[in-house]
Amino acid sequence: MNCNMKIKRRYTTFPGMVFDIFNYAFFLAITLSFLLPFIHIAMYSISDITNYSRSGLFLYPRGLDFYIYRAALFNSSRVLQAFGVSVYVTFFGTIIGVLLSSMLAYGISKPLKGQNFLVFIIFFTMLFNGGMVPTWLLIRSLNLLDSVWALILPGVMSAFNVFLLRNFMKMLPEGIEESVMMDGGSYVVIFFRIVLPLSKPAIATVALMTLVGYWNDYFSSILYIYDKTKWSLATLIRDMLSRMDLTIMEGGQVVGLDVNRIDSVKMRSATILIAVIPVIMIYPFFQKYFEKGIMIGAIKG
Amino acid sequence: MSCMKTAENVCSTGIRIKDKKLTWKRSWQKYKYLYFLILPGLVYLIIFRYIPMYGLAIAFQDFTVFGGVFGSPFAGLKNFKTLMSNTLFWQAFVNTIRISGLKLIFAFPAPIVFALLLNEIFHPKYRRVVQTISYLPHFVSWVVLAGLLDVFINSSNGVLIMLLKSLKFNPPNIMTSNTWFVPMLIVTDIYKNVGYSSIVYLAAISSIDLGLYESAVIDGASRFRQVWHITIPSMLPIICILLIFNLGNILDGGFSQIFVLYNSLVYRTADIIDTYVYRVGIVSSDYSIGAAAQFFKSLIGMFLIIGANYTVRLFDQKGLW
Repeated sequence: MNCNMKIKRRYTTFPGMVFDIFNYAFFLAITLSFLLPFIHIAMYSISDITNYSRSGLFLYPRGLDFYIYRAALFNSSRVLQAFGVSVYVTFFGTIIGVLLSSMLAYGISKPLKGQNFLVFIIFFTMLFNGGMVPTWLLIRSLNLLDSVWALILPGVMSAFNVFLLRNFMKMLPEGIEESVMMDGGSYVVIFFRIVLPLSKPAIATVALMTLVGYWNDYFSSILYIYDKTKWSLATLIRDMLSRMDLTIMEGGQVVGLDVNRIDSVKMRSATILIAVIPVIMIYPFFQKYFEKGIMIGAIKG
Repeated sequence: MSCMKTAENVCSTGIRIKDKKLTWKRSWQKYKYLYFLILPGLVYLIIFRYIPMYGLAIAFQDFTVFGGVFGSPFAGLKNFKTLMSNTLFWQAFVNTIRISGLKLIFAFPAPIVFALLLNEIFHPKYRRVVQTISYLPHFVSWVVLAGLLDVFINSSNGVLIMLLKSLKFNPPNIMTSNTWFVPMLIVTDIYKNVGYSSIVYLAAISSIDLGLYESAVIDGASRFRQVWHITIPSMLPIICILLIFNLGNILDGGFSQIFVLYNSLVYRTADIIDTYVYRVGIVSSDYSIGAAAQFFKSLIGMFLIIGANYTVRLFDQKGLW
């Protein structure tokens, strides 16, 4: 990239410079548009309610009051419960998903008999799907309605992820596998000891996508869960958005919160941040792998 | 997916089995444990993907909960006739295509342009920061974005709306306006995905041989010409592949986005097939009609993706398979 830059720069003309200025400004504006909304609501969530209710606020807090976080996380059982459901679903969904997908991917990366058929079976799920109604009937007949496993199972694996993993595993050097085989190791040993650790970029990518998918999924709870105490956090937020005033009643009076220090704006801002922050915190752990992983998946797809 | 044809030739431990034909028996001896590794995933796909596909059979039945998929009476194409004569279904159908079409026109090129422009930023650090921050909305739920959107364009106290009002404009209530709701969907879709979707394009750009640019510069090509004659053609294969995906999904329209944003006032322009299926198939428990709509959608989607792939290959580009 660096030499690329030098080459281009030497030939920059006056219109080129004007373009550059606009381009840099454009990306500054875009970046701000991604950040400011989150900062804005963060400020709402930590400001003193009496200060902003009179004159509003913009991008900096007015009087600090962290009561909402203490209340939401420790007193309001609803937010905490939903948070717990989301963590549970995301954790088990991601682990099972990554494991099943990578085992399948490794299997079809080898030239075993029936490989073409297996690839077709997986690929076909990308072309055609049963959709919402039959899946709902299936979950119902498995007696999983109102169970958190209904939130996990339908989204465990996707064909796209399997192919992404397979493409990556195909590029691994075969010499190592053969040497393990010589020592009497089976494919299972090779898979867990060698293939999995070497496929870190692809696995991190799939894990991140699965994890984000589960964490952000609000619809499964609407579809499968009637008992609101088992809702995921995203679903709870949706509920709060559609019924602003009830939030205060349910989050406040019932649970014994100090209603004078909370209003609907604040409650929503805080809950949104509680949902966003874990993703932002987890992201750096995956970042160094996942761009590479996506490239492989897409380019060799 | 190109391996589907050549798979047998790329044997890993090749030499020994190359001359012998790979029979089931020999494959089982050699790859027994691989079949064990495959099994759980395969079982999963059969239960959670193929059984629901079979479950679409209820589209051809008078489905009752007691009868189930196997015991309900066969009804032929009755449900499809009911569906085809339903104006609400056709409204959803047209809306879906309109919304997807607009997304294809505006939201599909957006990350390409984003990548091209970002590539013209010369400071690697600045580029890095912009890129990382631009992924943020992708990792956030539509529910959260709907919440943010509400903070900004809420008709009573949204920040942007207040701003417009103070400038003596009279902004409409976007969330309930049939004129503004769909454009809002397009804009928020771009906002959420532009940065993330640009990753593959930036990757494609960074894999271009720099020698090409050098020789172009020697031939006197301007920056714009370099982009036009080198960068864009190099991105074409990946653009084609993603285009196929997008065409195959043209009957989707973006369920999780629309479901969290829409309301009965904008059904006329924003109700899509998936939301229709949900309301009819799940909420009203009209399972057979919902399944019929879903079947119709899945079938067309499948032919679209096959057709798109075929077309791309006609133009000598590498397709999905």
